Amino acid sequence: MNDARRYQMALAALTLATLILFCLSLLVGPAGIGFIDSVSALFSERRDAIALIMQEIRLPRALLGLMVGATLGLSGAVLQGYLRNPLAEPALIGVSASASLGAVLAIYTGLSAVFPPALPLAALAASVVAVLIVQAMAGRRGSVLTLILAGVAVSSFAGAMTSLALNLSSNPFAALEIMFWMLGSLTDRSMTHVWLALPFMLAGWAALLTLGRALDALTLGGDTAASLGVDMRRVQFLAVFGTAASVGAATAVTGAIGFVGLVVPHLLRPLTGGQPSRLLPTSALGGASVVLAADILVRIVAPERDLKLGVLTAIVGAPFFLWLVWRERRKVA
Amino acid sequence: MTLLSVSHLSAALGGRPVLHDISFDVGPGELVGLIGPNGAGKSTLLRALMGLTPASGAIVLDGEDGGDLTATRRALKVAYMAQSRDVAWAMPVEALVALGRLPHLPRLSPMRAADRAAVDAAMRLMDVEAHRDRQATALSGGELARVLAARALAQETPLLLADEPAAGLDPSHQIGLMQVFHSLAQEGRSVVVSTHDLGLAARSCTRLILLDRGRVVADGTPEAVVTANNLKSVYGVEAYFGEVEGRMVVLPLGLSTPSSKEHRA
Amino acid sequence: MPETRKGRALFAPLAAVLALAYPAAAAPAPQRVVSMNLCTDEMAMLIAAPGQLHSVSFLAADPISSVLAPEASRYKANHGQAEEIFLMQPDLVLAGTYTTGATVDLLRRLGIRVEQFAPENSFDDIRAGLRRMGEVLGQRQRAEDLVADLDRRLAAVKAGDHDGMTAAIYYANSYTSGSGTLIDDVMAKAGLTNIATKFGYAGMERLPLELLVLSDPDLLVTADRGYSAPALAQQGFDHPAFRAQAALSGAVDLASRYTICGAPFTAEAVRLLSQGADARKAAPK
Repeated sequence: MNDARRYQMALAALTLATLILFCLSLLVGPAGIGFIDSVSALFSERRDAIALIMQEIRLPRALLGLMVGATLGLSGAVLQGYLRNPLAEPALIGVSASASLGAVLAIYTGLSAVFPPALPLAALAASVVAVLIVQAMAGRRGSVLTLILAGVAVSSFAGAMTSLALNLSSNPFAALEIMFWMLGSLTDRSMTHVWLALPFMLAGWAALLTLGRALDALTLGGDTAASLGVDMRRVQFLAVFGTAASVGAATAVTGAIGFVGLVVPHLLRPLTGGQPSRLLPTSALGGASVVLAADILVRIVAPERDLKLGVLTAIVGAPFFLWLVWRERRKVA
Repeated sequence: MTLLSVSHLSAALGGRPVLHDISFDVGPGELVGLIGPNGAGKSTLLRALMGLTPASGAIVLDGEDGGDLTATRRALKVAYMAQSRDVAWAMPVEALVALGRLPHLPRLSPMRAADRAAVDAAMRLMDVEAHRDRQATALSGGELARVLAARALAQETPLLLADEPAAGLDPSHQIGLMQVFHSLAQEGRSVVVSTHDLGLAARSCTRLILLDRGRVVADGTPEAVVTANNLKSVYGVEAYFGEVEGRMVVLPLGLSTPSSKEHRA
Repeated sequence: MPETRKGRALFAPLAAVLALAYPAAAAPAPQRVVSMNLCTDEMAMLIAAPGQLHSVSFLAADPISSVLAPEASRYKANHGQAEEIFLMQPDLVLAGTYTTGATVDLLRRLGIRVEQFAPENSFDDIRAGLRRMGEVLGQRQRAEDLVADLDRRLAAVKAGDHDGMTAAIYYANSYTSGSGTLIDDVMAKAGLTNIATKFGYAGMERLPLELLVLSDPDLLVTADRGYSAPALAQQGFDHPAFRAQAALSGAVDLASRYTICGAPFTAEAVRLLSQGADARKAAPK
């Protein structure tokens, strides 16, 4: 039972880390507000400056960090389990690229300048369209290969359309806005964003979290899983739509944040005894910790330059992933 | 009474017919060996029985129509050992064997005492208790084959279908595996095993079904199925036949002459 | 930016609803103004009464982008982040229409009045922008003075004798500006014909080097060739074909700080181009 013990320790440690990072995220900002003042302001009924900063600026940012991170970690873990491939990530089924395209179109047409919520709404709509296409292509038989191929095709198409919008944009300011948005950031998001994303994320999480046992069975391959009573079509439906709803909502409010969905499940897998069902909560907490930490770093390292979160996760994530690959290679050799 | 009844089963893969009008029944207590050359349709037949490959015809599993069964009800009636032994993640052996209990667990319920007992018993039967805490991906091929067999045993189903479970095992574990299957049969269950090891099949199975190019060409006791004629016409080999302690011994010796192979058509 | 204009027109009813939601509340002049966009920084520095403007963006102090860099040091610098700006407790925030959407949105949620200014694409835009800024800051007379100053400076440029002369602007990464851009209007006011507009380009577009050489402009305008940070984007300036063309045409390097944002100082760009055209005329090929 050594294994179960390690898993429980990991779960407890990650919960604690997430909590601490969430609180830290609330405490970091240009206004040097003391700890006690911050906490009391957070629950204050008065609408003074500190209360507004805590409730309207820092709270939504911290909440979104938590939600987006958990979404990326959880959907990464589910997709790696479902596709039985440690290189799978949420972007694979085309959701991120399509959500980006939707957002870019909202910026490009000027819609988002007139009606701000149009940006996340367009992103969500685009990710729904993408996932319907991917699901229709993958078909009733639920073939993993067709799913990946359809996802790659949809991603490439959405990416190309995004580039086309950038190419055709004769307005350098709009082009810059598109570029910035695609880099991913939590800066100055409001509670509107939280309420917009939350229902989709909750629905997505609910779908993804039911998959634990099915993913465990999938460790032995699709045929064996089916023989153990796993309905493979249902699993595919829940994995694809759960990812689409939660990652679509995440991308819609923050832009694309890379590497979290790929690296976090990979990193935490050894702590879960290789059991996908255990990896789901672990990876959700791990993803939340990583995004919260990255968002805190962004504010500490370059408070004045609005360093983009997606850039930071990639800068830290990519070399880290190389190190993981190198370690794997040594193990095999 | 039968646990498995197959009638007029046909199946095609990628438009090419693979199984033609196959019918047979398997009753409790039978250990059936499914033999036949490469491409005869053994794996496709087992997959069709599991509902993994679309097929026409009727399959009745433990009194219920295979087409009407929900995935979970099917999993309580039949366990299946796939030919592939690919394990995706470095999972400990015990957790892997415990996967066999999934169909028995109510939603969100953890493993109960009965489940743990079934897992322990299955590991003991397959002689893998010592590897309990090792990671499945670090096992040798033979060890992994036994762990996967234990996984299927832990499912505690009346019917077990196994696709080449003995391939890659050393002689003692091959014999051990077939002995376990034999004792399952004696408890009143049915086991269907595909294999290329004619000697092992003839020695341990109560009944053999010989497939050739998607058709059942012989079905009966090992002595009735593994005949010089059948081996020559289906496999194109000559074999040594003998008997040790009342059990049949067969050993393929060499390719039969081309002229005799013509008989096949 | 034609697309955006089209977008505006399409969503005009929506805009009207939003305008109701955020009334312009013109009554008393704002006393503590924070600007978070280079162009509003410059306009506000020119128009605001002493003490009225509290903070400008950090870009306003960058001498490469900002004409008023020395003046900017008199104000607090901000980095366009909601919390920082909120803490300054402004009664008016000035912002551009691009890249700060989330921040503007959040500031409005916090009950702060935000006025957004679109980038100017012509001298008419500049006049309208100055007048609107004057209105917003309660300094109408000051704005009118600046418009008059702009018109005076434009009138002082002798553009009449450049008939038939062509010019091309060539930015880093082989971009050029066609119709509907501020630089196009600057060329027009200098009496020059923009070859990009002749090619039918609208907005910022890529001008292939071949077309540039083929069009053989009388005046080749570059922007910020001497930018201190090296970039691959600048390699177009070192291309032999470009250098040969630059030797054939008259060449003017125009500091982009005069044309990034529109203000009376944009007339300085017109003067520089006109001067270049005069020089070119004096020394024919």
